[in-house]
Formats: sequence, C-alpha cells, structure tokens
Amino acid sequence: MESRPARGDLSTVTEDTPPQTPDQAPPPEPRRLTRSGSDSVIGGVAGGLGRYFGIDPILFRIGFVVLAFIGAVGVLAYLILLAFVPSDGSERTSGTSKAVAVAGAVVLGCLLVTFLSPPLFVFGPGLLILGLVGLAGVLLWRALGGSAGDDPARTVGRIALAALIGVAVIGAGVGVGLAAALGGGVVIAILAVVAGFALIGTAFVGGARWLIVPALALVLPLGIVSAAGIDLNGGVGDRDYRPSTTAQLQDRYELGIGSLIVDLRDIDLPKDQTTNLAVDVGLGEAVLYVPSDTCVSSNVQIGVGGSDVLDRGADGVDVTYADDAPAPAGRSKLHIDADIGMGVIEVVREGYLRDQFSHDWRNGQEVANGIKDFDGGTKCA
Amino acid sequence: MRVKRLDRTSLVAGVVIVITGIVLLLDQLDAIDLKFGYAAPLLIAALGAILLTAGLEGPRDRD
Repeated sequence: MESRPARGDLSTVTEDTPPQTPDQAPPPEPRRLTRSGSDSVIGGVAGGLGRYFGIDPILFRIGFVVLAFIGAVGVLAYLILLAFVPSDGSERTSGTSKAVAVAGAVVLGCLLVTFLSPPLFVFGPGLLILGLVGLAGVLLWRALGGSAGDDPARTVGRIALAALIGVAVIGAGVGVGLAAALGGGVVIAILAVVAGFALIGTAFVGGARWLIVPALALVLPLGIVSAAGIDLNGGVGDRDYRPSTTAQLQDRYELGIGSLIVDLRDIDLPKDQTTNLAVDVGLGEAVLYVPSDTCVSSNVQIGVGGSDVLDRGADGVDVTYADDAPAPAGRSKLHIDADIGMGVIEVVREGYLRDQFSHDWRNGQEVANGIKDFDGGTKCA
Repeated sequence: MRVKRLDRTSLVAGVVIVITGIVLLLDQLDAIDLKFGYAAPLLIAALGAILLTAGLEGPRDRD
C-alpha cells in the first residue's frame, strides 16, 4: 500500500507532479489590509476592507454612514483608517459615479435624520446645510471632471477652484433665500421654472449640466423659505418692547431675523375682554412675558422649531399649537397669534422663569429669590 | 455632422426643477400652503432623482 504524502511535505512529491517554479505559480503574497485604489469612493478604505474580508464593500460603506450618525464614530474610524492603512497603489477608475451615488445616500441620510428626530431640531438645520454642501461639492467635482489624477498641483488647483465655486454657490443660495424671504419668491420661482425648461430643451442637443447647480441654488433656498414661511420684512436685530400702558401696546410685533422680546408684565390689560396680540418672527426667537392675572390663549404656527407656551411645549417641523383659555369674570384675557418661520417662541407668566430654551446661570439665583421655577405658569393662573 | 445624443441627466433635472418651481410658485402666489412636511420630501425627491440619474448615466463624454 502506497503511503500518501503528508500535506505540505514537498520532499515526498513524486515525479508525476512537476515541481513548481517561480515563473509558473508565484507564492501567494500574505494577505494585507490596504486601501483600494481601483474600488474607491473617497479614500478606498471600504474597498480595501471589502477585499480583505471578502465582503461586498458597499456593506462597509453603509456601516460607515450609519456609524457617522452615532457620535460621528464612522467619520472618526474612516479618518483613522485613511491615515494609517497604506494604499495599494492601483489606479482609480470609476469612482466618480459611485461618489455621486454614495454622496446622494449621505445627503438623504442627513435629511432623514433631520426630519425624523424632532427633538434634534437644533441639529437639523446644521445637518441640512452639511447635506447641501456635500451635494454641491459632488456636483462641482463632477462638473470639474471627476478624478484629478496623480498630479498634486492639479489636485490642489481643482480643490481650490471647487472651494471658491462652492463658497460662491453657498453665498448665492443664502442670497436667494434672503431675496425670497424679502418678497422676491415669485420672481425666483419663475426663474427656476425657466431654468428647468432650458435644461429640458438643451437635453436633446447634448445637455447643459452646468445649469443644474444654479437652478438648484434657486429652488432649494426658495423651498426652505417657502416651507418655513420665513418673512424678513420685519427687519434684523434684537427688539425689546416693554409697553406700560394699553396705548403703547401694538397689535402686531414683527421681526425678520433676531430676538424679539415683548414684556407685558407692567401693563394692566382690560378686564372681561380679549386683547389680541400677533407675533411674527422669520428666523429667531420670540419671548413674551404676560401679566400674572391674565388668561392666555394661543394659536402658534412654526415652520421649523419649537414652542413653549406657559406650561406646554412642542417642537419639530410644521408645529401647530392652539389652546383656548376661557377667562372667568373679572379677568383679562390675552390671545396670542404667533407665526415663527424657523425658531422658537416662549410665553412666560410673570413670576416664572423661562423654560426649556433658556438654561442660564441666573435661573438658580432667581429661584433662590423666591421666583417659581421652570414651568412658565399655567394658561389661566 | 455629429448628432448629439440625449442627455438624460439634463432632461430629468429639468423636469424635476420645473415641477418643483411650479409648486413653489403656487405657494408664493398663495394658491397652496406648502408645509415643511410636504416640501422636504419634494426637495429630497428632486435631489435624489437628479443624483440617481447622474450616477446611472455617469460622467458625460467630453467632446
């Protein structure tokens, strides 16, 4: 009986199996984690991980994006791997289209988190801006020809040019938003429609993709301003109104951007009748202090932000809050009709402190002086 | 003479921008009251359609 050679024991190989030479089958290189140059979206980290573990790299990409929203762990991990894992030195081939797809997923992820997490509305606008900046960057990258190749000077030049154009696009977007909020929305919408028809018309003769970015720079800010109902005609800055008589009390207080304070604590509102007060803030906060003996009803509409009306609060997008307060005989009643584009409104009763949107050091001191704490008072205290 | 082919990215971008622009125009004219809950999906869908088309079609051939 012929004995089988032990696995890996080349000394027992018979002449039937020719000896392997380096020319025919080079010994396999030890498996090594490297960044992929051929399967690369940003730095080839996910492509390298996929190749190393034999898994589709898209799974690692999804993992990085998901982890990016958990304390930015994904971003940190990616940067660390990008810094310490060497490149395999191969050429980048078709990363541009994938970059568009992945950047689109990141943008959608940012927006999803923005709108699915109402308590995070403070972070919402920031994520939205990040998403839009990322989109602008990808579109610019595509417009400028995608990969810059191996020439460092060319790469630096393109990055600088993209940064300049990116700043210009963002500036134009902010300008369009301001113009829309100041009443130019109809003209901007018409321009956007015209730009859209121009894109459709040129699509049949080769296309004019360069027109997409300016058209989006018209549509996106207008969409945000329109949806939030931001109106900047009330001006910009901080306003502090403290009427002491009903003659000084205005029917409407307006502010475009900034902080509006209307302090009614020194005023004696007429008994057994309703005093109507309208508050309109485009972007910012409105704080109303109401007298201690006045019943307060309210109708609040907020595009993006939060309301804290006495002891009740709400936040998120498209916030609508209505509350009636029938006043007993001999009591005054104040009806607040508030329209906030992006921001917060607080209604605080005399003797109480501002609530969830203000946590400064003075609160503790005022509580120590006998002022009631943090619930803003009830609607008919 | 070279016949230029249809650029789908420009076509799709044009269509979604026209649709979005008309909706925003109607809102500006107070014909409709656009809320954030409706505007956000509209804008996201518009961006998504453009990005998806651009991603599927790839970079344009340079003449």
